Amino acid sequence: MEGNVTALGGQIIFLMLLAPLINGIIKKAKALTQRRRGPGVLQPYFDILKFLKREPVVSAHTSWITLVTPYVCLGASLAAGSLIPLWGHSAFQLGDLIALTYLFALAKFFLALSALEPASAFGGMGSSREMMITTLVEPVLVLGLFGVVMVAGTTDLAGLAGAGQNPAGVLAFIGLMVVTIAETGRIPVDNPDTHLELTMVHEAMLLEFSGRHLGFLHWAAMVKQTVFLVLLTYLFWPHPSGSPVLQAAGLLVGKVALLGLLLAVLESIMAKMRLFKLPELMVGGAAFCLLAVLSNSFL
Amino acid sequence: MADLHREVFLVLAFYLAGAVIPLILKKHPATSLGLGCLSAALAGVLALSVGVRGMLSPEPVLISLGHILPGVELELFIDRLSGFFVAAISLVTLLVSLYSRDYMKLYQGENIPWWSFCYNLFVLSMTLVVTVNNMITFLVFWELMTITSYFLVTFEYRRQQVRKAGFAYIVMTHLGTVFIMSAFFILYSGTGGGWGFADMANYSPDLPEATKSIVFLCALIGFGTKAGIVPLHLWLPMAHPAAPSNVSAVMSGVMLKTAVYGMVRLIIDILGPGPSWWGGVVLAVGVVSAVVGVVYALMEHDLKRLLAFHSVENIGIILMGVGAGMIFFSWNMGVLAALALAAGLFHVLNHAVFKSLLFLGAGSVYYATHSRDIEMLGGLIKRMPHTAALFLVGAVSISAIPPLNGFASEYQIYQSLLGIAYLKVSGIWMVAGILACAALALTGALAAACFVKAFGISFLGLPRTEKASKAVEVPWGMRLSMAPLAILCIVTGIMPEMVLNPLAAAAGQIFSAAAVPVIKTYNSNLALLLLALVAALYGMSRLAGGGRVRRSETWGCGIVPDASMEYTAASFSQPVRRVYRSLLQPQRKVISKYALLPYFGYRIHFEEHIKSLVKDFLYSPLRRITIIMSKKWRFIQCGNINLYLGYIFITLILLLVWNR
Amino acid sequence: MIGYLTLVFLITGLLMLGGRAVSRSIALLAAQSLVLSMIAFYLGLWDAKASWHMLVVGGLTLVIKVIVLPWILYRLADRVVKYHEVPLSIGPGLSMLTGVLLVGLTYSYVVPVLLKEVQVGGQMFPVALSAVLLGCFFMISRRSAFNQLIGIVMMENGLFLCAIAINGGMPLILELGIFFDLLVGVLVMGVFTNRIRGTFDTLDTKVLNKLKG
Repeated sequence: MEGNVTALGGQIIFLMLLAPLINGIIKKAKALTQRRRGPGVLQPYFDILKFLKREPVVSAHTSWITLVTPYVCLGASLAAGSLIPLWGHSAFQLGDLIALTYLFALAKFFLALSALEPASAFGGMGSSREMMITTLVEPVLVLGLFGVVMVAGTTDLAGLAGAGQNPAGVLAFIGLMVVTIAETGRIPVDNPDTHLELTMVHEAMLLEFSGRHLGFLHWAAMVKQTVFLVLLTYLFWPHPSGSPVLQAAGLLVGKVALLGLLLAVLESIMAKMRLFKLPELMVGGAAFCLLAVLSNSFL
Repeated sequence: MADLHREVFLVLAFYLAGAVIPLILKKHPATSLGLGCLSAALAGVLALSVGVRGMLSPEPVLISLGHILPGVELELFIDRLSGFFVAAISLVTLLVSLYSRDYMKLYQGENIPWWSFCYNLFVLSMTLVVTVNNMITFLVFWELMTITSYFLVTFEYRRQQVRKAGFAYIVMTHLGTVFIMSAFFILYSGTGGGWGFADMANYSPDLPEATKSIVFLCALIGFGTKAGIVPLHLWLPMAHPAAPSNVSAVMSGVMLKTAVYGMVRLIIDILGPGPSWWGGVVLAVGVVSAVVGVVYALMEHDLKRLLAFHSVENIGIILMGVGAGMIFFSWNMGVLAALALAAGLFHVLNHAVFKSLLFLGAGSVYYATHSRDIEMLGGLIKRMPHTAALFLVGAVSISAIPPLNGFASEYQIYQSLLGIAYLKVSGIWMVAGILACAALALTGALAAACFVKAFGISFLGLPRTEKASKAVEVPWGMRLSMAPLAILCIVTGIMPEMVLNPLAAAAGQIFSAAAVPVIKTYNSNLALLLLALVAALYGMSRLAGGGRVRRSETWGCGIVPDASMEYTAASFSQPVRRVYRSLLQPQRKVISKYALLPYFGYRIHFEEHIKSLVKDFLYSPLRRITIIMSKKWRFIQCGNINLYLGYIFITLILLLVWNR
Repeated sequence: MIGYLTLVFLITGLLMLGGRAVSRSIALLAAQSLVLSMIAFYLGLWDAKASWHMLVVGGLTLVIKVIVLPWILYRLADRVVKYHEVPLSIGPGLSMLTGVLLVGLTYSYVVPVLLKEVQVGGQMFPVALSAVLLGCFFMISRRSAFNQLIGIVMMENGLFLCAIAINGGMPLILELGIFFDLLVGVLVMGVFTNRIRGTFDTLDTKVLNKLKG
């Protein structure tokens, strides 16, 4: 029991520490593919530290919802991440794949609400767009994940390690990669680097946040991105079970970083899509997930 | 079980007293309202205990109340299923009755004793509908329920819109009743063994497959009309906003569920296992209702119409669970069927709780601002903090977000649908199961979007009108009667096994399944983890920089923002309207007025309407055909009384000849 | 291994449905042909039942369909295609979804019900049949004459995989014939599109309606 709690706590701290690194790697890789030098890989850590020291300024029109949102967002993202039994702490049941996806919905719900609070048009715009994107992403996500789940016969994450290692899994992986791009606000869907009102979705919601609160929300976005990548490696490319913790952690970091590089390259070679072209992209992702389901059902 | 007898009699007595006493004390409206609500609440408490005990007792309870017709006895038969529905109904009506005492003050000048009379009879008839055990009494109370609820819907009969809504409601539900009656009569003529449900259940296995399928379809259409499945949902978004909010809470929270009860009782319990396409049809109807309901909900600005469309959605979700159960039942997998049905029934309870909470919340907003249009609201969280918090709990629940109860039941439905895929019976079913899951996910996401809009626009930001800026918190009585519902949302969300296991037992009783395994859930662990994480993060933030927060004006690029710059509900839902345009068919009209040049001093008039495909492609042609047909038959209505007597005479002769 | 390869074959077909750009379609077609030749090589080298024909066929595929054909197509595209993106009858997302539905139809109905006497194990046969349908749909959904050419080649790829799946390929002489047919076909079509372009100044097949008297 105590060992389990330690493992759980360790995993949460591991994810908290890993997330900025992955973000830094993606940023660096993106800069390099664009022939820029870019900030150092460790820059996100410094950013977060600086944010955490700053006093937050919140809009006078806001209520307690804005005050709790940063903690709920980061907490929910971390809780989602801690459901993946990276080194086997599944002695007590915390949740499964369905809970994982819905925890992100919790974070999104509160973030979208708090964006409406300051009564500025930007926040409303971001929140409205984010919820529209969610309605497109969520079914594809479930389709892709369940395309993997239906082979394993369980939604319990402990039984899903490497469940996607079959031909149909490749299809599901492609579909889930599209979902990951959309969920982490990356380029064809959203642009993480800009505050241009025409393109922003996630950033628009964060516009009224500052100081510690902003730091927590940035951190939450990084953790979310890392959790998605970790989940993908866990489902499609897990480390051998029973490997020592350090080795497993090392392998995991390597693989997640590799996926991050893939994201960075994809982001560099693609152009931002118009918002209302998004359904086409998501339908494409859905097509792959559906194909995975079909292959699993009939072949 | 002698003591249950006494309680049941007391329940009846309290409801009847609650109906009659206010009429007698008509001269003292305040007292009469108080007494009406009080006795409904007392009856609710007793009925709740009856229901819970019925649900937990392995042996059904039979209570006879005497003959009402030759050969027809009024008997209450409380097995686990009925017990559950009695408990759910009483739980909601108990709190709504307490709420009504303050809320009905809004309607001073209307005939409040009449309201008390109808309300008590309405609740009583609902309680009886789910407990009687033969079809005659079932139909009697079903009709009583419809008629009393009609009078409750048309309570403000002076408004034309209300009368129209009431008319749509009564016409549609009566058409539904025709189908229910046909289902019963086909069964009766097929079995010829009496009106009791038990008799019919005994005979039904001998019926030919085709007859059973006809009964199934009749029951689905008949009960579906009451439940509001797409495309028979048209009355719901009309009737709910017309009725007072407390009545909508009862109608949406529990009256729709009596139709679910009817379906479970008639289709699963009486007809028994059918071909698997029955389950497939119910599942498909559920999927369509859920998705269509929630997409239309997202387009609504009237808080109560929005909630009404969500009822369509949630009925769809419930039917997904029921449909999965029927599919398993047709494959002879009693345990899985029981788990799936339990998931559906669990959502029945959860929807009853959070939907009545939301309707009461909408009622409170109406009480405080006299407006149901969310475009007229805004900033209410500052003025009505308690109502806002309670409404938020309901909003999070209905959006299926952990750790509240909407998630708990949708999770179980996911598992049942996945179960269809796990079994690998055939590829088609596997794909169907997974697609239903994707539809459920879509529904959840749309519901979340809808409630971000509903809560965000009406409670957050700046008040958009003076009425909203001058709102004051509603009386304590109203807040306190909403609070238990919110607490239930949290408790059943964190500890779903508390309700799920008795429900699985109830479902097991219907499917006569072998021991249903005890369901274990992780929800409490997850809630604990979330709480711990949020607390730890807050602590971390305090350590890092203290708890100080500076407040300042919102950044508006140099302009101090006011309410007119806020995002409106229409603009919030615009992206969704555009993405789902093939379903919604938005029609946009923009007129700009200017004096000299289009760039200076212009006013823009903007309107956008959505079309209802169901109305355009199903109801309008039907109506046209009906009118054309009626015109052709008009000649038989000539107004001559002798001719009418002649009609009666001819009919009589024909019947005699027929029966010879 | 074969499973993954056939899957990539299917994915390229699906991706072709999801794009507008001509160059992308050609690249994907080349990739699909490459996968096809890899399948042929793999079977020829490691599958005991398949004959050495497979190696010849794989080599021919590699040369003709992966190198020569795309090269011709690219050159043609440079000359005759006015815009980079071709007009579609159905949006890319929807046409991908339709493609998946076609695949589903093949998986669920055509193979197990209509063709149940064709006893072929594995995924290759249904995938090959789906590729034929996808190619056909590709031709329907694109209004440019150029893309109809690409669709033909895609259908041919599917038929080829079918042949491999059913009995390890056709007799060698037949295969050689088909290759040359295809090559000549593409050349003829190329000349044809060139003429259409010359006459109408567009490749949009809608304008062919004008030819009607």
